[in-house]
Amino acid sequence: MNAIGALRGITSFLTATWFHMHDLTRDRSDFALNLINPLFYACIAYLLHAAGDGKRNLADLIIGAGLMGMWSSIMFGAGTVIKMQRLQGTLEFLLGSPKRFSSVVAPITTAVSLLGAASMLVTYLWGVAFMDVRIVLERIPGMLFVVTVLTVAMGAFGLLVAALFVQARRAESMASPMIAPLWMVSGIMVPVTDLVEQLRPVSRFLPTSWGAEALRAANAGSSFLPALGWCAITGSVYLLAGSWLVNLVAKRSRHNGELNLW
Amino acid sequence: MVNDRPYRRIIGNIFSCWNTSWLSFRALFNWLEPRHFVLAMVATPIMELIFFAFLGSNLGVENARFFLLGGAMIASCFPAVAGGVMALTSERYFGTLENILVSQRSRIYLLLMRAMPYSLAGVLAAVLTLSAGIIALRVPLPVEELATFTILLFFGCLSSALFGMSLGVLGLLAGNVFLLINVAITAISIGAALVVPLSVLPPWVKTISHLMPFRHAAEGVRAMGVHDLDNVLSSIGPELVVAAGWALALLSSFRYLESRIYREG
Repeated sequence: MNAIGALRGITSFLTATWFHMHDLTRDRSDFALNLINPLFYACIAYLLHAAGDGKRNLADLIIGAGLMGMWSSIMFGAGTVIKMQRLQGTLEFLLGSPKRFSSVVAPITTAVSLLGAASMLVTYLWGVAFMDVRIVLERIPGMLFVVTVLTVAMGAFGLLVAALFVQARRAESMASPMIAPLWMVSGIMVPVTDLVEQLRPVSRFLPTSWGAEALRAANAGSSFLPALGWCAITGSVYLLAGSWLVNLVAKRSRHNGELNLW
Repeated sequence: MVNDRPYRRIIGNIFSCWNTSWLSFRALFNWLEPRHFVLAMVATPIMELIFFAFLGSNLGVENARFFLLGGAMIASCFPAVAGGVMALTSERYFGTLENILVSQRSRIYLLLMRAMPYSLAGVLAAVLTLSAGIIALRVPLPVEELATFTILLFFGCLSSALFGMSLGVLGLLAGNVFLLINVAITAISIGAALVVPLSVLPPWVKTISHLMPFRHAAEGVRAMGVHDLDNVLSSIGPELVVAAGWALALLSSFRYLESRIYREG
C-alpha cells in the first residue's frame, strides 16, 4: 500500500468517526446521560473521600470517576453497536459493503470512545469547579496527550466488545454486570497495587489500567510515558484481536446464513 | 345481608385492581424473563455492591456491612423506580395509554395499585442481592435482622415505585425516559445515603433528602443491631408519609396531564 492509499484510509476512518459522532450526539438526552453519569460518580467519590481517612489524592479519584464513565460508554455503546444499526435499519448496508467489517465498526467504537473522553473532560472540570481539585496549566498538554492515546486504545477495545455481543438481542443487559468488575480490575479508582494479588496480572491486560496510571502520573507532574507506551501496546493488541474477531464473526455468519440472527 | 354488599363491592374492586395491575406488570415489565431479571436486577447490583465495598475499604469508609445493606437497597431501587416509570411510559410505547385515558375507573384505583407489583419485584431483587452479597463479602446477618430489613425494604420500595410513577407522568411528556431513571436512582443512592454516609452530605442535601423515597427506610436499616426493634420500625411512619406524598403527586400530575390532553387534543 502506498502513501496515498494510507492517507485515503486515514481520511475515510476520520470522516466515518466524525459522522458517527454526529449520529451518537443526535439524541440530546442520551448525550446528556453520558455526561451526567460520571458527575454522579465524581460526587460519590468526593463524599467517600470526605468520609474516609483522606490518604488518597482527590484529583486521582475524580480522574477515576471520569474513567468509570468511559468504561460505561464503551461497554454500553460498543456492546450495542450491532443492535443500534439493526434498529436504524442500516446493518444490512454495513454488512453488504465491500470493505472489511472491522473497518466499518472501528469508527463507531472510536466515536463511542470519544464520547467517553468528553465525559471524562466534563467530570474533571466539574471536580475543578466544585470539589477543590487543583488544575496546573503546565500539566494539561500531557494529560490531553494521555487522554488521546487512551481514547484510541479504548476504541480498539470496543471493537472486541462489539464482536462479543454480535448476536445478543439484549446486549445492554449482558454488558451491565461486567462494568463494575472492570472498574475494579482496571485500577481506575483504587491503584492496581492495592488489588488482590490474583487480579493484578489481569489488570495489566486492560488499556485503562495503564491509561489511569499514565493520567495520574501526568496530573502529578511525573513521567507518564512508560505507562502510556503500555497503554498504546495493549490498545494495538485489542485492535488486532478485535478486528480479527469481528471479521471472523461476519464471515462465518455470511457462510452459515446466520445474518438474520444479528 | 344488605349491609355486606358495600364491603363485597370494595373487596371486588380491590381484586379487580390487583388483577389489572398484575396483568399490566406482566405486559410492561421488560425484565420479566428470569435470565434478564437476574442479569440486570441482581448481577449488576451485586457487582456494584462489591465494587463500592472494595472502594470504601480502600478509602477507610465505614465497613462491609454498610455497603452490603446499601447495595441491597440500591438493587431494589431499579425495579421499583424504573418499573414505576415504565408502568406509564410503556403504555404510551405499546399504544395502550388511550385505553387508560378513556377508562371511567377512578384514577386512585387505576394507578395506585400498580405500584404494588413493582414494589414486590424490588424486594425480590434486594433479597437476592443481599443473599449473594452476604456470601461474597462474608458479612453475617441474623435472621431477625433479615426479616426487619425485608419489612423496611417493602415500604422503601413502595415509596420508590410511587416516586417512579410520578416521574413516569413526566416521562409521558419527555422523549427519553432512561435519563430520568438513571438520574433518579443515582440521586436516591446519594441523597438517601445508600452508598455514602449520611454525616458527610451537605446540609441542603440532607434537607431535600427527607422528601426522597428510601431515606427513612434506610435510616431504619442503618439502626438495625444498634437500636431496639420499636425504634427501627418507627421509620416506617415517615416513609409512608413520603409514599403518600408521592402518591398525591402522581394523581395530581396525571390529572393535570389528562386535562391538558383533553383540552389540547
